Amino acid sequence: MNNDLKTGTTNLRIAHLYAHFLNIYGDKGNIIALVKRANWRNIDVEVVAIDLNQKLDYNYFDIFFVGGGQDKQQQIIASDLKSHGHGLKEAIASGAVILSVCGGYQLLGHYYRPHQGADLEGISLIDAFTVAGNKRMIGNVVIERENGLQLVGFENHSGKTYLGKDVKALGKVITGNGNNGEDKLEGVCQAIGSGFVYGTYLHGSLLPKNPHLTDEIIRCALRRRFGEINLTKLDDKLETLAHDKALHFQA
Amino acid sequence: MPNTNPFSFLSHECAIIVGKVAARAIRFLGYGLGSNLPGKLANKISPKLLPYLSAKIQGGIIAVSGTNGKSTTSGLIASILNTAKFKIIHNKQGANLYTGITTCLIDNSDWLGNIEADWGIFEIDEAALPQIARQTNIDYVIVTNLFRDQLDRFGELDTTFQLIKQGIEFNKSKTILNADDPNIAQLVENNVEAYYGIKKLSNQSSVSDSEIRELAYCSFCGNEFKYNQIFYGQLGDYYCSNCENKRPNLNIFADNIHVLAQESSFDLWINGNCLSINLKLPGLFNVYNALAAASIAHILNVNAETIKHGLENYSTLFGRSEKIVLHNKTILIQLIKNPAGASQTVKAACHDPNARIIIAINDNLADGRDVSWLWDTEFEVLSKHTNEIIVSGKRCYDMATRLKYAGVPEKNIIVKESLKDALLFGIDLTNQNQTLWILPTYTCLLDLQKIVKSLGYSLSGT
Ligand SMILES: [Zn+2]
Repeated sequence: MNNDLKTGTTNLRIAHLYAHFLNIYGDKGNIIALVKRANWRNIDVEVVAIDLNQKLDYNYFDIFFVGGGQDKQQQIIASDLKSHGHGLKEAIASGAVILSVCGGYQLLGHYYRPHQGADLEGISLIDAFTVAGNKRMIGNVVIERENGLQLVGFENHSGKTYLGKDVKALGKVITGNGNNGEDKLEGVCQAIGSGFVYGTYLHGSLLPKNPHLTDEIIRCALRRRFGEINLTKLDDKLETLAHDKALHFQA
Repeated sequence: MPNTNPFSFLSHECAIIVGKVAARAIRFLGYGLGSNLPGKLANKISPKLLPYLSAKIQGGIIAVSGTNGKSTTSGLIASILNTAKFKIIHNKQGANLYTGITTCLIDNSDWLGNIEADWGIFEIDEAALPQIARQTNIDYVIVTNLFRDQLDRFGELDTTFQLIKQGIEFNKSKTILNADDPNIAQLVENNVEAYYGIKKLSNQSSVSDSEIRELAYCSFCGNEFKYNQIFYGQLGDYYCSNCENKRPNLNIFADNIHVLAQESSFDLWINGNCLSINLKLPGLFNVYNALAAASIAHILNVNAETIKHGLENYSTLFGRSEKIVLHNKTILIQLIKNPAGASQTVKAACHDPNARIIIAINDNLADGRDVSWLWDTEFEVLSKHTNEIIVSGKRCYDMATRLKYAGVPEKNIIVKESLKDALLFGIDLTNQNQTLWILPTYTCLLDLQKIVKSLGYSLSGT
C-alpha cells in the first residue's frame, strides 16, 4: 500500500538522547539532515532533547538518536542509558529506528572495556562488544553496503567493536578502519522486530553527505505510524558532489 | 658557563649560523616565510639552542596559549609593549611550535647569539607548551580559552587541559587566566596574577540555544555549572548551584560593550580605573583578546594611557581580522578553525550589513582533516544574508552542503573550487561601499596570502 504525502498529514518524532552531553563530532549535523530532508517533503518534525534522569515515552518517538561524547561524558550517561534499555528494545521491536554514532554506538552492545577499571555496561540491544585499542583510528572512511551504495565519513576512535556472528554490519570497509581495523566491517544495521538499529563510527557529519541513508532512515521511521510512503525525490546536486568527492579522499 | 661540553657554545654558534643562512635562503628564494625550517635545522645541530638563546632575554618570557585568540592577543601585547618602549621579540608569523620559537630566537639574535630584548612574547600551541616549558623558563602564561578544536589532532578537551596545566606547572609560571571560561579559571589555583573577563552583556548579543558549548564542572564538588549569563560558547558568568564555587572576581574587565560591524567599543576597568577603548577589530572574541593583553601590560606596570594607545593602534596580522584593499575593494580576512571561533566570526560578518562573503575550507593536517566541525558551527545566521555566498577550498562541496542545510537558498551558494577564482569573483561582486569578508581555514589562508601577493598586494610583515 503506497501513500503519497499531503501537507500536514505526516510527521516525524525524534528523540535526541543526551544532546547536552553527547555532541562531539558534528552530531548536530545528523539531526539537521533528518529535519531538513523531512521538511522539504512537507513532513513536520519534532525534535525533543532528552536529558539525564528524564522520562522517555518510548512509544511516542519514531527515531532515537545517540551521538558521541568524550570519555567523561560517556561515563556520565552510560548508567542512565541502561535504564532505558528495555524500553528502547520494545520501541524498536514495534517499528522505531535508533541511530547511534561512535560512543553511542558502543553503548548499544554488551559493554565497553577500557584499558583500566571496570567495564562500562551497554544496553545489549545488539550482540556486540567494544574493547579499548592501543592506537587511535583516525581518517576518512568509505564503506559499501549490501545494496551496493557507498557511505562516506570520517572516523576517530580507539575502541574496537566486534559484532556477534548473527549481527549485520552497516557495510564493508573500502577505505579506513571501520569497527575494529581487523574484520573489514563497519557499523551495524540490524532489523529487530519491525524496527531497525543503525550504529556507526562514521561522522563528518554522517547523514548530510549520505542523503540516501538519511532517506532510508526517514522512510523506515515513518512506516511505524504511516505505513509505506513514497518520499518525493529531492534535488541532491550539492550533497552528491560532496559525497562523490569524498569517495576519493585518502584514509 | 656551567656546561659539561666545553665546545657546546661553538655548536650553538654553528647552529645559529646554519639557521640564519637557511632563513635567508628560504626567504630570498621565495619559498615561504622560513618560520620553521631554520629552527629545525639549528635544533639538529644544537638541541639546547632554544634554552641557550631564550635565557638571553633580559626581562623574561610571556607565553600565550589556549584554543582561540593566541595570535591576536600576542599581537596586542606586542603593540602595547612597543608603545611602552620595551624592546621585544615576538613570533608574529604565528609559527608556534618548538621549531617556530627557535626560528624566532635565531632571527632576533646576532651572528654570535646575542639578543637585545626586554621581553619575549610567544604564542605557543597548547600541545607544544609542556615541551617548550621543559626547555625554558616561562615567566607568564596567558590562557585565553579552551574550545574543542581539531579533535583529530588534539584529541579530547581533557587532554589539552592537562597539557596546558603541565606547561604551567613545570616552571611554576605565573598565570593570567580568562575567568569567564570555567575550564580555564580552574586550571591552576596558585600563582594566578590576574583573572580577566566580561562584567555583563546587554541583551544585544544574546546567545542562541543551539550553540554547542563545552560542559563545565565544579572542581570542588563535580556539579555542572549554571550560568547567570552566557557570553558565547561556555564563556560566561557561572556558578555552582551545589557549593560556593563561582566565577572568580575579575581583576581586569570589560563593561558597556558595543560590538559594531567591524569594530567594538567598551569600558576597560583596571584596578578601579576606567578607560574607554575603541578597538578596530570585529567581534566579542577580540574584546577578550584585548582584555588578556591589557592584563599582562598592567602587571608589567605599563600605564593606562599606553595600554589604550597600544590597543587602539594595533595593526592586524594577515588573516586575523586584517583589512586590505585590493583592486580598490576592501577585504577583511578572518581565519576560522573551530566551531566556537567560526560561529563568532560568521556572526560578526552577518552583523555587517554591507558584507560580501567567501568561505574557504581545506582539510589538510593543519586545518584539521575532519570537517565535522562545520556542522557544529552556527552557519544558520547566514540564512538571512541576502547576497550570494561564495565557497571554495578542497572541501567546498561540504561547505556548500552545510549552507544549504543552514537554510541559505541554493541559488545563493556559488561554488568556486579554485581559491583564486573565488577571490576574483568575490572582488567583482563587491561594491565600493561593501566589504568582502573572507573566512578561510589555515591552509586556505596560506594560499590566499600567495594569491593576494601575486595580484600585486604587498603584505605587511613579510
Ligand atoms: Zn561545586
